[in-house]
This record gives sequence, structure tokens and C-alpha cells, in this order.
Amino acid sequence: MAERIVVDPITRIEGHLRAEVEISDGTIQEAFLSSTMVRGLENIVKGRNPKDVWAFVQRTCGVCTSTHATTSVRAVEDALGIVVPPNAEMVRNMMLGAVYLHDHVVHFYHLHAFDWVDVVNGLSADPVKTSQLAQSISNWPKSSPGYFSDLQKRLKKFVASGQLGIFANGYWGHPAMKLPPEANLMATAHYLEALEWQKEIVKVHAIFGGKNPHPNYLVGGMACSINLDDASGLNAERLAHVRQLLEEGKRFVEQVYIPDILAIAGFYKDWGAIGGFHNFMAFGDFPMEGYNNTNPATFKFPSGVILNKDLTKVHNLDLKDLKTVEEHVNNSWYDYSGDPKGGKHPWVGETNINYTGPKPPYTHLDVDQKYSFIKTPRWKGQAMEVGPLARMLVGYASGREEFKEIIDATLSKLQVPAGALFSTLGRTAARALESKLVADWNLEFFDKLIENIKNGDTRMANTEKWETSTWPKEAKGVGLVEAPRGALSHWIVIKDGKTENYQQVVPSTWNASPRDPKGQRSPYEATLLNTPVADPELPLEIIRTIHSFDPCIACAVHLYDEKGEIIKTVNDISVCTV
Amino acid sequence: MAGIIVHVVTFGKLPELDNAGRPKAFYSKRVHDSCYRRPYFDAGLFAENFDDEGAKKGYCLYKVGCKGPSTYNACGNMKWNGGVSYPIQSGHGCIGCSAKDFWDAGSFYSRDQSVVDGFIESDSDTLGKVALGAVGVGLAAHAVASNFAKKDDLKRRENQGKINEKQLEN
Repeated sequence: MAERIVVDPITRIEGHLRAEVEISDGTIQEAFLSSTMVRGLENIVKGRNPKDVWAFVQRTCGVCTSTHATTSVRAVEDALGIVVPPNAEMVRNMMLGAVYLHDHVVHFYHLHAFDWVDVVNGLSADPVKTSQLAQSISNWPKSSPGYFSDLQKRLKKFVASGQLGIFANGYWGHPAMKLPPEANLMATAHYLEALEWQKEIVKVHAIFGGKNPHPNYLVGGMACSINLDDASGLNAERLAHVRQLLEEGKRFVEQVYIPDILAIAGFYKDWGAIGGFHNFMAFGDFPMEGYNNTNPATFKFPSGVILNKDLTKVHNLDLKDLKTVEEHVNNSWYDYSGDPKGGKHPWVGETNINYTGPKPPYTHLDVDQKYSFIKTPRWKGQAMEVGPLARMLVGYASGREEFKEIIDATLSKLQVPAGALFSTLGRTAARALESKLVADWNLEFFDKLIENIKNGDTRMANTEKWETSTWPKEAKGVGLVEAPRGALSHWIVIKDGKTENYQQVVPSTWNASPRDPKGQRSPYEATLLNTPVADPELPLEIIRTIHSFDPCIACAVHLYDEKGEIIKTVNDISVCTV
Repeated sequence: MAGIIVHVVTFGKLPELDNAGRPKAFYSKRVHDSCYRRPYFDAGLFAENFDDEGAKKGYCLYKVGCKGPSTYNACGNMKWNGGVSYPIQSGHGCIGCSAKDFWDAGSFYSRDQSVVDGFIESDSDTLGKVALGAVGVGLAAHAVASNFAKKDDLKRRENQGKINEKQLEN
């Protein structure tokens, strides 16, 4: 008989995620994913001034704190037909680019790496050999035998004290851990360096948006005016600081993140055949000629859909068609007016919360009934994976040279077939590869801003439609952003100058949702199937695949047996550091 | 949060709290009181809209919604992210995030209601009439008068500066 184990909470960006998984013969046979926490921001912003909404929905998350604000101002601008000045577009690109570098590095080192890296095992590494390993894969200066030896001594003291702190209760010594001690020590060193580094890159947000987390945005552009001859605006000093931060970010990605990913992936090639999905969707982002530009070639990330792993065809999104995107609540704790099994387009979407799940504390969810607070979105009736892998695959299938180059080079370096892209390993590698692309683009955005200013354009905000009196009586719009975690959309209906309806369809909605009315699984549930689990009491394999989608938040993994007794509590080392 | 831990570790006791239970070390002054743009407020020089001439010159953001006058926080003193900037320095008004119920206190872009009506925009005649009907007439009138004097003074200095520059060029 299958053993049902519960992992709750698993991390997710804005709340708790629970997995109920049935294992028999050492592999996962069935999986149900549930968000046990409600968001409800859609209801909070109803009736508010649309110009204010970005600040509310920005608080959806404390990690990728720019993405929801960007999406919101884009939705309002789309509704009102506002075109933001090119300078504001480049500033927003750089801010989003900084989020990518910050998010991906933090996710890999602080949320995901210790699914693959064994810190305690690194204590037996030879510092000289660790130094040789580090220097053979990168020019990163912190690589001397003395550096690793000092670190190892500090770690040993840490472990001997019995107070492991951030390293307490990981999956140390798990049979699925494969790295040699030297690689473990090197990766642990970079974990600590990344902690220091991550507080630097977000200064890009402080300069343009005043602070991080939750920098300020503005409908119509950005508030950070340019004035080269005054200390009060963006001037040469402020801009030089941004340039320096972007360069440092690029260096860390190139000299630490990418070499580490390649080195670690080499020991986990079996994960190139586990945890893959078949449909992928990207909204596209980083506009170079205006967000309103209809030519997809002017966006750094192209948009499109890939069906059934077929990389020879990229389908158009057609998002504004009312039938293209629909959210279902057949398995979610909401009520819909009209057909309860029917889907609703976000512009006519509803957020009528109605929890009908078991009363806590409970052992298992009744998965024959509704079982999650996440709605189930579908594109033309199909489940979609969104995120780094989707973006890289859409770029690859669109024939973009820079995507093909970096993906092909990685496949050849790792000596794995193209099919390995559709996997947990592919997802984790795609995140690193796109960080490299974005790190390069950041400098292009910067140069374009400077070029524009040199040409005499110092506009930063378009305030022609600032006053509500200039708006139409009714309008609706959509804001699309490629958040680091995937395709993010906000849908607004404006009436009489107020927010009449608002819906957020976030990346986790696509990836982590429960089954749709046809019984189709979304990516989290689908990708766990057939995963081997060496030790059901320490289900590292579940965490590997779920983390590869980039959930967040500190978590403790509690395992229950079939009677609901806690058999093991593992404090996950995925500590959210921001 | 880190500041409180540091305080306890260093001085062995909790810091003093304000009447809302917040450490005075961070919440004792209004954002307005530590604002480097405050002289422009006092002088009546404002950004009328985002990215206009006033905004580019770093004038006061009160008219585009800054809630600094009613918000107690240390953003202007400590700044954010290692002292790099804070909202007002980057051109956006304070949204008042540490003020009670700030999210329901009107739009982030509407004018701070704590600033006396007519204090900023009216000419001196209107202000005189408002002041006559108000409590604390003398104080308000004095404040208004001194503000207008400052504004005139600032304009005079600015013009004098331009004249000086021209003389230097010649």
C-alpha cells in the first residue's frame, strides 16, 4: 500500500505550500500540492485609486519586491494608454534586471544549493585540493588554500559548538548527496559570500526607487528625475554607482554562480531525467523600444508558448482574448458566480473566498474536495510551466542566437542530451544561464539610458494622464512581467477613476495550482510523479524538484505517518534571507 | 529590528519607547523634520507634478503627496540600504508607511491632511483671513510671514547668483 507523507510547509514566495505525496516501491505515485494560506490582495485594492495600487500589491512578496509594482503600473498604463518615457523604461529594466540577479543568486545559494551540497561533508575537504578545484573552474580571487582552510576552521568550530545556526538540521549525509568534500566546501564558501553580495546589488533599487525592499514606482514613468547639474536628481555620481553595482553583479554571476552550477550539475546528471514538464509559457520582457511595442523582436525575452516539448514551434500568446486565459476554482477554496466548473478570464475574475477544507489541525487534506487557495489558470485549456526554463526554451525555440549559444554550450560541456533540458536539472541550470544573459543586458540598459540623456532626452515620467479627470469612464488593462519566478500578470478594470476589479495571476498560480476540471495536473504535481525517494523519512528528492521552481520563505518540513504522528521534523535550510 | 538587538546587547536594556510602543531611537522625529528638502517647504518651493522643473530641482514633494509631515520615522537620518538613498531623495514622496492606518488615509498622492489648509498655497491676503478665524492666530501668522520672507529671500539670492555668474563670465 502506498505510504502518504505530508510535507508542510514547503516554501513558496508569498506563503505556505503543503505537499501530500504517495510513495510506493520507492517512487512517488501521486502528489497533491496545496497552498494553505490566502492572499486576498485583490479584494483589498478594490475601490482604491489605481495609481496607488502598485504599493499595495507590491507587498504580495518581500523578495522580488519590484515585480508586482512594475506589473501593476503597467496594467494601469495599459488601461489608460499611457506610454512611459524611454528613460523610465530603461530604469525599470535595470531594476528588474537587479531583481533577477539578486533573486536567482539568493535562490540558488540560500534556498536550493543545500539540496545538493553537504556542508558537514565539506569539513573533511582538503583545502589545497579545494583551492585547485576553485581555480580550475574560475578566476574568482577568493580561492587560495588559506582562504578555504580558514573557512573550514570556522565551520568546524561552528559544528563543534553544537549550534549550527543556519546550517542546523539539513540533509547532511543523505545518500542522494553526491558531491566530493572539496566541492562541498567551495560551495559553502560561496553561500557565505553570496550573503554579503546580495545586499549590494539591491542598492540599484535604492538609487532609483529610494529603498529595497519595496522601492517606489510611479504610473507614467519613474519618480527619480534626471538632473545632471544638481545633487537632487540622477546625476553622474548616482549613475556611476549604478554602473558599478551592475558590473559587480555581472562579475559574481560569471565567476561564481555559473562555474558552481556547471561543477555541481556534473555530479547530478541523473536529475536531467527527473522532474520535467511538457508545456512552457513566457510573456516576454525587457523592452528595448517601449513596452507597448508590438514587435516581439524588440524584447530581450521573447514571448510565446511551447507545447509538448516541441521546440520547432512557438505559439502566439493571444492573452487579451477572453477565452485564452481562464482561472478555474474547481479545486480551490473560492466560489464563482455562474458555472462552478467553468473558468473565468481575469478581467471578469472573482475572489470570493470560501474555505471548505478540514478544520486544523488535520492529518490529510480531502483531495476529492477542494484542496488549495491557489486557483488553476489555463492557457487555451492547457497547463503551463512558467519561469527561467520556460523563458530559455522560448528564446531557444524562437531562434535567438544568444539563447542557443549558451544552452548548446552548457549541454555540450555537461555532455547531456537536449532532452535533459526538460527536467529538475534543466530548470536549475536555466536559472543560472538566464542570469548571465540578464547580467549582460543590464549594461546595455545602462548604456541606452546614458545615450538617451546625451541626446538631450531627460524625461522620466509622462504625467499627461495623471489627473483622474483625464481618464475614460471605464477602462481595462493588463500588465505583464517576466518575474524571476515566471510569467506574472495583473489585470485591472477601472471605473469612475477607481479600481473596479483586480486580479493577480502569479507564477506560482501557474506552477503550483491544483488539478483543473479535466483532471490535468499543473507543473508541481506533475513533475513529482515517478521521482525516486531513497528515504521517505528524509524526502530530499521532493524538495529538490519543488525548490527547482524557486519557492521561498523559511520552512520546516514536518513528516507525518498515515496516522498523523510526526515521525521526523527536518528544519529545512532554505532560509529566506531578504 | 537589528537596531533594537544591538541596543539591548550594547546597553543591556530595552530602548525607550514612544506612545505607540516603538523605539524612540528610530521613531521620535517626523520624516519632515529630518528632510533635506525642508528648506524648500518652508520657502514655499514645490514640485507641482512628478518630473516637472520643481521635481528636477529637488523641491519639496508635499504637493505630490509626501506624507513626511505626519510620519514618524528615521528614513531621512539613517537612509536605506547602507545609506544609499531614501524615498524622498529618489524623488517619490514618503507614503507614510509607519503612520497609523496610512493605507486608508487617502491616496499616496493626495496632500497630507496634517498640514493646515491654506498654509501652503494661498497668497498672504487669503492667509490673513484664514488666520484671523483660526486658533493661535499670532503663531500661525508669524510662521506664514516668516515663510514668505524666506521665499522672497531665496528668490533674491538666486537672482543675485545669476547676476554674479554673468559678471564672472564677462
